[in-house]
Amino acid sequence: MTELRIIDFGRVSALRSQSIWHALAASAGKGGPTTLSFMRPGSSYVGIGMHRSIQEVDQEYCQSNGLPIYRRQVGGGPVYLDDKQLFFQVSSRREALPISRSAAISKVLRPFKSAFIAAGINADLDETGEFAVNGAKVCGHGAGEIEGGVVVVGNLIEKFDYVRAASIVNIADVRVKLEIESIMRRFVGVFANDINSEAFKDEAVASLSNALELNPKVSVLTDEEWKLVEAYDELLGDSSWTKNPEFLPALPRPLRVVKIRAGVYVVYNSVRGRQFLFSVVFGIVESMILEFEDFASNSGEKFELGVSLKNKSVDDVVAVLVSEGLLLDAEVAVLANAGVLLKEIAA
Amino acid sequence: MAGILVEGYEIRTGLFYDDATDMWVEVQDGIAHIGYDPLGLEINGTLAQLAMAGTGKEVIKGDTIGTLEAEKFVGPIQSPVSGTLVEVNEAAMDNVSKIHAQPYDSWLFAIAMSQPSELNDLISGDDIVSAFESRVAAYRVKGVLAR
Repeated sequence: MTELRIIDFGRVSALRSQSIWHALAASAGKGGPTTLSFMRPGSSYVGIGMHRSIQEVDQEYCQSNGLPIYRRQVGGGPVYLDDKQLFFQVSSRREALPISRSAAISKVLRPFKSAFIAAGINADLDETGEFAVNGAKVCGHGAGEIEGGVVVVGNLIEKFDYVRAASIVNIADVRVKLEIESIMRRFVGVFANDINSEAFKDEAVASLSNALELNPKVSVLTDEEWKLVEAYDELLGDSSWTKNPEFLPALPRPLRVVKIRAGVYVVYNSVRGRQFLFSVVFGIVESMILEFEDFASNSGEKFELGVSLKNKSVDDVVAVLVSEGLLLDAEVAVLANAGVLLKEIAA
Repeated sequence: MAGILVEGYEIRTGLFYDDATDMWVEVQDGIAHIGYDPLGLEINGTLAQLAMAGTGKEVIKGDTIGTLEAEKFVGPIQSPVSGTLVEVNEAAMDNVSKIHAQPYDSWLFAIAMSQPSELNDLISGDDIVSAFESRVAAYRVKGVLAR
């Protein structure tokens, strides 16, 4: 049985809370050991996924609140991160994990269930592949292949700053931000006191090493790996990488989908004359507002239509919006790509 | 072009296949149009985003030419042939759900091939069916695919 290297980095800088695990993945790709690491960012910042445009982030808000923005080489959207979140990462050679991406993530994440329970959070991996308690996500995760190594990252959310998490999203209309914050309060975060992060770490080590059939061994980075960390400090800390990565992400469109957790989305369209805002909660539309810019004075047909669409299946609602000319074919594709629709709709 | 179902996956006998990248390749006048085959799509999972290099980029077979995101997993898109990236299928980038529904109508990028002899390394003709069966069997042994 070979070793599972365990490294607890403790509190690190915001940048290092990204660069370290990028380096660990790259090291694994060069033959380095499978590693479980923990760290906590010493200050708040915003992370943005590999394929998301910087324009999805409210850069003015971030600047005025002293929040640096770092682009990570794993998936997902813009997220607010702070020291109330304990990060964990598992880095490994690509060949050591299942070739199927979802199977690889599942194999790595599943052992953490007992760690959440040890921490005092009765979480389970739900059918969407996220750790949740009563429908609320309690762990953000992502994964990526970096220089031939694979890394799966997640966090133990001890406390969640909903106001900041909603504020970092680049959306001009305050009502949309309030809707995002409201939905986040229902579907993100831990509703438990006295979360025991030390128990989380201890159980994660035991459970993961057992699942991967590796012997846990507390260790440190090698000198070569620290050089990799410094190289990733340079890359990830470079604002030109954050704004313009090698493979440019698509720009956000007027139709925006903000994913709160798997199955829960806030959707809004800012095109004048076709404005709408609604939330989708596991396939059902909530809080439908049509042409919300004129909402205060709008007591006519559109208001009635909006009311009638509440609590309907998202697919039925989208079909109605298409038939009313409020949603175009290309916008339906945006919803389909984002996973909002339950099934394909012929627009 | 004729499609054949092999182990539940559609394959097309007039194409080239690369089992290293799980991609199909169609060549006309030295230009290779390239997309993921159905098995590759299943392994990657539900696609969410794709990002490609700009046209003009020169690649060697196996080089990363873009990245894909599926199931929150970001990984490289590697080119199965060498040459110059001459076109990216923006329609496919904009509608990734169609790639799953119609993989052979969803080429992702086109390469002006600099090493046409590399086609000899790809799977084609009478070898396609048996090679595909072997790939499916190998993935099932690894537990990647349901039996």
